[in-house]
Amino acid sequence: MSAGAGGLAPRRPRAGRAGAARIAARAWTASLAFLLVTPLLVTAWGAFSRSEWYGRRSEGAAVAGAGTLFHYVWSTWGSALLLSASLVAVVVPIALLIGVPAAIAFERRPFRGSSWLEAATLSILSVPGIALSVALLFAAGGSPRFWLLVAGHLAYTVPLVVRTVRHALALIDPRLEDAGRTLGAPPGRVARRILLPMLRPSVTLAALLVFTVSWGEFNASYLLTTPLVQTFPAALFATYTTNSFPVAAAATVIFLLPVVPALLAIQALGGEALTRGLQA
Amino acid sequence: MKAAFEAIGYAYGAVEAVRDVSFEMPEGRITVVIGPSGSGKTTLLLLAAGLLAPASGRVLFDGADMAGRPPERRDVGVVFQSYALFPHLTVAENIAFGLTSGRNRLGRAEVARRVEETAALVSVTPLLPRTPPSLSGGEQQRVAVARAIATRPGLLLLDEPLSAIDAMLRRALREELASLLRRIGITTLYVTHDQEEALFLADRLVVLREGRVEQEGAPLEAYRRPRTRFVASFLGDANLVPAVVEGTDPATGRARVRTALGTADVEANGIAPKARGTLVLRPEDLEAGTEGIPATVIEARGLGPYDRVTARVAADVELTLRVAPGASPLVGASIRVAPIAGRGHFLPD
Repeated sequence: MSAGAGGLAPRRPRAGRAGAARIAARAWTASLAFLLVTPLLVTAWGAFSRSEWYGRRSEGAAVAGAGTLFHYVWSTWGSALLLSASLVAVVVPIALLIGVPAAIAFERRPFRGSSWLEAATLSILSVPGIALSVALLFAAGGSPRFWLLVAGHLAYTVPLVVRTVRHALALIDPRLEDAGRTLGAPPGRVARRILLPMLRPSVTLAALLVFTVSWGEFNASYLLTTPLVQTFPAALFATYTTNSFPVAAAATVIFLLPVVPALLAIQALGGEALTRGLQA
Repeated sequence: MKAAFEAIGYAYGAVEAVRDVSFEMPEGRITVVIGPSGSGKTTLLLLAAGLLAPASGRVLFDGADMAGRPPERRDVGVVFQSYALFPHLTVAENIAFGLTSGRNRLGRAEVARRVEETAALVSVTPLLPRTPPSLSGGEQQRVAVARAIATRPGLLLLDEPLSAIDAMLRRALREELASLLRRIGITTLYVTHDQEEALFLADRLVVLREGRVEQEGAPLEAYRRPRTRFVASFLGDANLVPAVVEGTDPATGRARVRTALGTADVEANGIAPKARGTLVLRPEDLEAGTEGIPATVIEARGLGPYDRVTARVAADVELTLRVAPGASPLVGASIRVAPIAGRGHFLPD
């Protein structure tokens, strides 16, 4: 009995410390999760709330009820939404068309200075949007316009494609391409029938990354657009500074609609894209 | 098709991998290139395939210089050491790859027929719907061979195709591969570092060392009459004993050489009288008995079909000999070792 008690006594504080540490870790995780999720919940609640409480003479009169709220946002910012959509539709394919061949060249056919070129491409990511926008405006001359906006977005997204695809390519045995050549396939055919199918998960991942970055890009977009022709994130900024909370919340929900599935897809694809090449 | 290397050279940067290599790959025969790792074997194979371009010399296919001709336009099939099977395609699609792209493109029905036929030849028919990552090493090896021969290339290149297979299976696959290659009568260049495999498969053997051809000829010729000490010790075990020629007899074509082990009677073969050199004695060329040089047994191992005994003759001289299974003397025993009459090969310095 006493031996048993003696045996238990020293263990109890240890168990207590471990328990306390576990509780502290859980509390920390819970508070982090709370911090991350709360803004989303508040935004969603705001977007779907009824807004008569703003009064007859305020914006609330026009946006009473969630349905009209979204209708109001659409009629006010629909053109910005369209601009963002067309921007993404142009930026994603062009970023892939530039980035994928560049990744293949950097990884498989490095040339004199190719590592410098790659480093330079990546370094653009650290240039502030304002500096990049001013540089683009100076270089192209004149006022903001669509293709300047595309150029700004490409500067931020092409490096992502190069990095993602190059990493996946580094895991693919170059002998596979040699085997394709000796079986009679010229380099273009080897790329189409061997490399691209094997790189598909990483190219998809790169496309999703480009989509989310381009859809949400604010800094360069804000400076490369005019107050009358804006991208949706620039319009969001305007709603935050000028509109009522439910309107801003509804606009944010619309903004997040395509982003959330893209982020989930990135999460699901990430692992596969990076290990695909190891199967061989 | 017959192929040849003519004074070919290649360097990776400042490192010379292959220097002035010339040899022929006769039509329908298996030419085995053997050498230690880093001797330039794989480089030669890549040069033949067109995956590397020679710095000097020529690759000839039926006498035509292949310079500037890319791999897809050379009539070759390659089995890579890693097999390099396409993991995103089925076995059937892997075998069909060469029949659906470029130089050997066939009609749809013809492709299906050829895939069936090739798969049957290499016994991989049940594997056709599977993908390479789900296959064992031996299965992958067969599929790689099937893919390489499906286009019926003029020259088949194999880069250590059995090195990734475990010993038991390797022997079986070696025999299978040998009988397949003989049956289809394809000109083959086979690269390996395994001397047993080389002697088993080769119609012609090329021994490579540091990028140069050390010896070339019939496979057993290099084993029985090595031209250098390197060839002697690389192909099998060899006792290298200093020797002096005592006299030659032009009538019989034999020479008498004197060594610390006693006198041996060897092929004269243009040996100068009084020449100094080395007597190469294989373990099976020595016997333990009542005559010969006294030696102390330092190791005895039963290897199954025979026992291998290592005995010390002097402080720094050891001899390896082969004795009948179970007939090994005990370690520490004193024995006498002598060359079997007429055996041995003399290498002049």
